[in-house]
Amino acid sequence: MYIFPKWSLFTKLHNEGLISDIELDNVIQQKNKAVSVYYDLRTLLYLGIVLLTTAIGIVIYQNIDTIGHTVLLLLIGIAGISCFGYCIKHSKGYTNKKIDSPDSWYDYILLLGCLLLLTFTGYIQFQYNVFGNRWGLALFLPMVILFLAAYYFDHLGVLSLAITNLAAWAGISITPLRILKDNDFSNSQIMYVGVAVGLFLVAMSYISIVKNIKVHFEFTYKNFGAHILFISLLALMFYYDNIYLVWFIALAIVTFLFFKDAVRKNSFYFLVITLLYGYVAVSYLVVRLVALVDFDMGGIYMGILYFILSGIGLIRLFIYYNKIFKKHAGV
Amino acid sequence: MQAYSKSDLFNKYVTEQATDALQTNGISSESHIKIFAAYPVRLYTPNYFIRIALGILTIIAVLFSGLLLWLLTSASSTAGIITMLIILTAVCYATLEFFVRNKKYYNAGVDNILMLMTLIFFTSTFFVTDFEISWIAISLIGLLISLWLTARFTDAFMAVISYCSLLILVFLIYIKLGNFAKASVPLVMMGLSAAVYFAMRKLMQRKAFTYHFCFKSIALVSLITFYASGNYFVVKELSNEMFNLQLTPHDSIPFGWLFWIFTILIPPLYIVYGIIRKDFMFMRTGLGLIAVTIFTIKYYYAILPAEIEMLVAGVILVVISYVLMKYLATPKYGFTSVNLYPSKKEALNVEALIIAETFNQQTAVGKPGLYGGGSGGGGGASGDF
Repeated sequence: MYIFPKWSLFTKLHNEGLISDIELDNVIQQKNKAVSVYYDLRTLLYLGIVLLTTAIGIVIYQNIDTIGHTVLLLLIGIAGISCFGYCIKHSKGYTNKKIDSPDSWYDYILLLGCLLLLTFTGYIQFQYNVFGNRWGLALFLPMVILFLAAYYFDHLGVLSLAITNLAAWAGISITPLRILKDNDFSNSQIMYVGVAVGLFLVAMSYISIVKNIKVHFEFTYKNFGAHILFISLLALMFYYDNIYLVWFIALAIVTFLFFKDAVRKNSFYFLVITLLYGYVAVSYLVVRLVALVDFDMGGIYMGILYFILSGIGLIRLFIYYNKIFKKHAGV
Repeated sequence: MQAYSKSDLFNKYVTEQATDALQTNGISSESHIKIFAAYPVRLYTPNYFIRIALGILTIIAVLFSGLLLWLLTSASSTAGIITMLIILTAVCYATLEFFVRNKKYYNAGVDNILMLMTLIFFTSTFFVTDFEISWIAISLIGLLISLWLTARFTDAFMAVISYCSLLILVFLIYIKLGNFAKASVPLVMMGLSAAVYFAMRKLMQRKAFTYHFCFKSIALVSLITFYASGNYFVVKELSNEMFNLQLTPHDSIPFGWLFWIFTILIPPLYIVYGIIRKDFMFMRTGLGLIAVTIFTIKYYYAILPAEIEMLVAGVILVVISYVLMKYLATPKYGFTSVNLYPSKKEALNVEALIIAETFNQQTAVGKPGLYGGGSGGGGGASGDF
């Protein structure tokens, strides 16, 4: 690698008395140390598992009539159970605290097991209608197992799968790329479900902190919860033309609470998303009000001026909070 | 020429190196604090998320200011619109200079967007014309402006834009030289990419710390353009498009075999070179380009059904990564599969999000097509998420 000669810089720092002899030696020795390809291999393994599970899904789907269901189910079941068996064998057992995983292989075998479990339940429902017309149950059971696995094996990825499964069970999509695309925002029932799921997830994040159960799960719960809650509330405000003020007030309260929480925890990430969602709500209100007092171009000019001034104002607000938040405060 | 004082940039560089050394357990946190005190950073670079927010809000403020200006002047003639765009360019650039001079914004989101807006508004004036649009003039102007912005604000994104403008400019001028030029243009682009790469490498070895990241970014992009210029798909489809050759997928191109060799050989060569030199840039670029090569081959020759190919590729990837993980558990040849320094919380959260996205479940409400397992293609995971 063409690194700018580090030793010359750190020799300078050493001469200035800023670092000790040992530290200088450490830095110089750094280039002789082994470099870690941990993330590279993890990415390759992840891609492999994506390809593998997707391909298995397609192959099963295409050959569903020829291979025989019992054989396929048996194979998937055995593979899934072996994955879970491997993880149980290497697991350090459950505690409320964070458990570091033994290695990347373990993490992804667990993930593979969970994915096979989902395929398995989907399959028996599709083929044998085990859960009858209660489609919900076909998602509810794997969801419970996913949550159990996430907590027992302490896996953020599985927790995310469990949360998206929870949302799917309730009837909504919640992952970053689908949250806006796949949900039908002309159906007010979906939005109410979104609010409920959002509140539940936020409550779960709160509980994990207060009860001190897997504290590091807090972010994942709160992240999914906040986005679905804000988006559903905004959708409700746009949807109900007559009572949009009611939803605006609800948004104002939620924004305020998230904002206070972000400031208290010095969370840059939640500060940004909270204020931006809040900004969308306020801008909608302003545009509605400006349209009410429309005096020809005057209203349009007022609207444009609002966006220029509010944009600059919000920039100043972000700069202010960036200053008062502690450095390295995390996400 | 630089908008920032050399000592500001140097202090920034020193503290970055110190933080790097802290994270790799080279120095203690006490020394880290001492270095920060001895080399105070006066440049303003806020938190990553704040930068994104500032960028978005700057776009809103600039676009609505432009709208206001347009409504107030009600410019509609060519000259009127060009004047307006030039005024906007001047305003953006003046604001940029003001913030950098007085507030020392450095990758603060605001300055990045203002730079981009300066470039966009000014080059847009060349699209507003009653004559034929001259792409050569546009790429030349784009090159000059982005070069100036790179030099003045040491901005890596502008550096990459200037490199891309240079490629386009050379391409457009060269193909005007006739039929031989049209056939040989891929080789010229490869040569140019290679020349730029070696130039960047030379520049990086100098003590030019102020532009180090600019050089590195260009070097990375030049590796990609070197491959792209020789990629069979790019060469064939681009010449088809540009020179109206009307080729069907089964037609070959002159020296097609040569481009197939480039397409197939370059990615593994990058990887091998990266492993020998322990250069992650080559290794990861090579890995990414292997995927591109596979798609290129698949586009022309469907060897196996897609799902079988995915199955095979998946098994190969899982096996390779498993073997390497176990093999490199104790360091060998200077590589290790162990995570030497604790993962950042951010990295784990991003990973969890990618998993949720790719293995997403369909919603429940009466969908008989419910089928578990992976439902999407691979996420665009880069080497260091």
